[in-house]
Amino acid sequence: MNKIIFVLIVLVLLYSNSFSQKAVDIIQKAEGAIKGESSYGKFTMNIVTPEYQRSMTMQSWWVGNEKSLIVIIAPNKDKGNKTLKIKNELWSYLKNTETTMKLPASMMLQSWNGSDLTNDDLVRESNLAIDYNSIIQKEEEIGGEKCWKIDMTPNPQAAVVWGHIYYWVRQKDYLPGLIQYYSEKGELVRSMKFSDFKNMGGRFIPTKWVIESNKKTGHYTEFIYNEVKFDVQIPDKIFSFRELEK
Amino acid sequence: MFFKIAIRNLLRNKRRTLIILSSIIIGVSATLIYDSINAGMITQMLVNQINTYYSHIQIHKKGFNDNRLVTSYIPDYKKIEDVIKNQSYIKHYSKRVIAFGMLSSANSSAGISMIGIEPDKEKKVSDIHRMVVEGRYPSGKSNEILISKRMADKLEVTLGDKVVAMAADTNGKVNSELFRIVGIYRSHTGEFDKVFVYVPIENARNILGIGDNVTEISLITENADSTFSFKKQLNSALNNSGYDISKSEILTYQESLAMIMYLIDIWKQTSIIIYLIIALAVLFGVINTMLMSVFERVNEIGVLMSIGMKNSGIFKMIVLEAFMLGLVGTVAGFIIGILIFLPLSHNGINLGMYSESMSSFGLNNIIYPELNLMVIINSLFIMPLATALGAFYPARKAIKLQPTDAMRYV
Repeated sequence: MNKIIFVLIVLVLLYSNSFSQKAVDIIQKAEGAIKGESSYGKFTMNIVTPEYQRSMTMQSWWVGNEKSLIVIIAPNKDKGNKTLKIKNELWSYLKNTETTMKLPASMMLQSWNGSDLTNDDLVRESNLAIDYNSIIQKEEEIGGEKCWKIDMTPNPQAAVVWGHIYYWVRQKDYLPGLIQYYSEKGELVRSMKFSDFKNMGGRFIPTKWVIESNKKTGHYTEFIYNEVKFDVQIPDKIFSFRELEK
Repeated sequence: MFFKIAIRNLLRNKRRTLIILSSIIIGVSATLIYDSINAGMITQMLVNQINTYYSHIQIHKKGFNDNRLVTSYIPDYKKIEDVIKNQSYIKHYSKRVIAFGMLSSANSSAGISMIGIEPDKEKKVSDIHRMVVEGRYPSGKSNEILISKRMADKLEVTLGDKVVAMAADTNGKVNSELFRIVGIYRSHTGEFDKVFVYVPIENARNILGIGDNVTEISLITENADSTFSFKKQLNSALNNSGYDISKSEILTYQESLAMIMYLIDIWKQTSIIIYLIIALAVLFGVINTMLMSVFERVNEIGVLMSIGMKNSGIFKMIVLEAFMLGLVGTVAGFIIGILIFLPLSHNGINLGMYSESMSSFGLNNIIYPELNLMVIINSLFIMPLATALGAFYPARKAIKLQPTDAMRYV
């Protein structure tokens, strides 16, 4: 009898373990699909608030999550402003004053270029497997597509402000559909929606990302890809200060 | 004899005497109250600062206050600690680690000065444990954080919520750590509440990556007034122990709270100016009154002169008259002032309606007026002198009279 219970417990443990492993795999697959090993992209960022609307066009180079360079190419006022990210540090170059500044810790949670993204969002790469305990909660339809709803609960010691993150991944193509960030009290603080799934740069990806701050009604930021290339060769010198100040 | 004449002259026109007397009384009692409220405010400001954070003496690495770097921890602090333990005049001490960074919740974020403390020792050095309004003071367990009400409102968090603190370590790498809010405090100083949060010292050390070093040692001595001599003693004790004192900096609260010390100086100077203004007003009142009384008595003065009273005698008589006025007025004003002061100093003056601006100056809602030696000396000596001075001109007028003309004056 005892033996049977033991075997049952082991089986349950194995099963739940494999299940949670699977959830992490799904998320990693989804993240990988939209990011790639390296990528070059040209996108438009629309910042929408009840009072005003602003649009910016940018170029970006990414190598994994390690390094990236984002250059504003329109409007003229901000043209040439750059953001350089190396690991978890950020530098900002302002064309007008020709100054390069390393963003200090105290500025990390300020808005990036006026959007609903913070500087920290660019840098913060919480390790999904270590910081969160992910399980597939259920299957749900998002935008007419069958998705897994994955419940990511931060581990008690992880330096994460969220109480829960819900991550919807489309079953058909392992692409992200929706991400919702909840506070510990269960309030929806922020959400990220993916739409306009298209073939671009040789991959099928969501070309429109909307980040909405649910605390401030009517505030959201859209990212619309105009052009994207995956797994391109990016010379390392792009991520240097000399390039930044050129 | 002069004394008697002076009193009789004063009593001759009682209404006039009373009027000038009341102006002196009001002047003295008003300045006394004004000064004691000021003194009370400044003491409170100073005591609040000392109790919330600054203690009597603080030790830092040299130059810490000019450039608060992560790497500015006290070199060889253990040697200093050993010396401190042997000093009888130091009653308590507490080690602190200070980090500048950011605190964020799911909703918002704020810049912080994170103070890593040893909760048990900190209790004896600062009053922050008395200022906890919700929850409790940190017990020393790791990852507990005490934040201000103001910070809690800004981050939209309550007790038990989690917050992430971020700060750059000695290599410039940004570290973050998760904390649970165990307590919410409210100090007297709004500016303080804006940035200061308390965490266990070990967590602060971890975030900064400074090993087991400390940024600050705060001392409570047996007497807050002798901090300068204690500082000297501590300095020489450190020197004798072979510690290179040039690497560190010992600051008394008078030095670290230079702003408040300036305020005290400014207050002393303005209170003297206010005394002078009131004295000047009284002075002209006295000149007026005494001139009147001299002109009323031209006949008498002529008679006095004719029967052989010296000019100096007449001068003395008139000045003494005015001086008596000043003396009586001052004593009465002082007594009235004290009578008003006593209940106020006991119950305090509630300025709750200005609490917002009061807290930006580091003041409580209730001000307790305070008498000190300077207040008493100022109020007791300035008025009689001013009134006596005011009698000089009328007295001079009197002795310039020609006895023959004066006697015939109608």
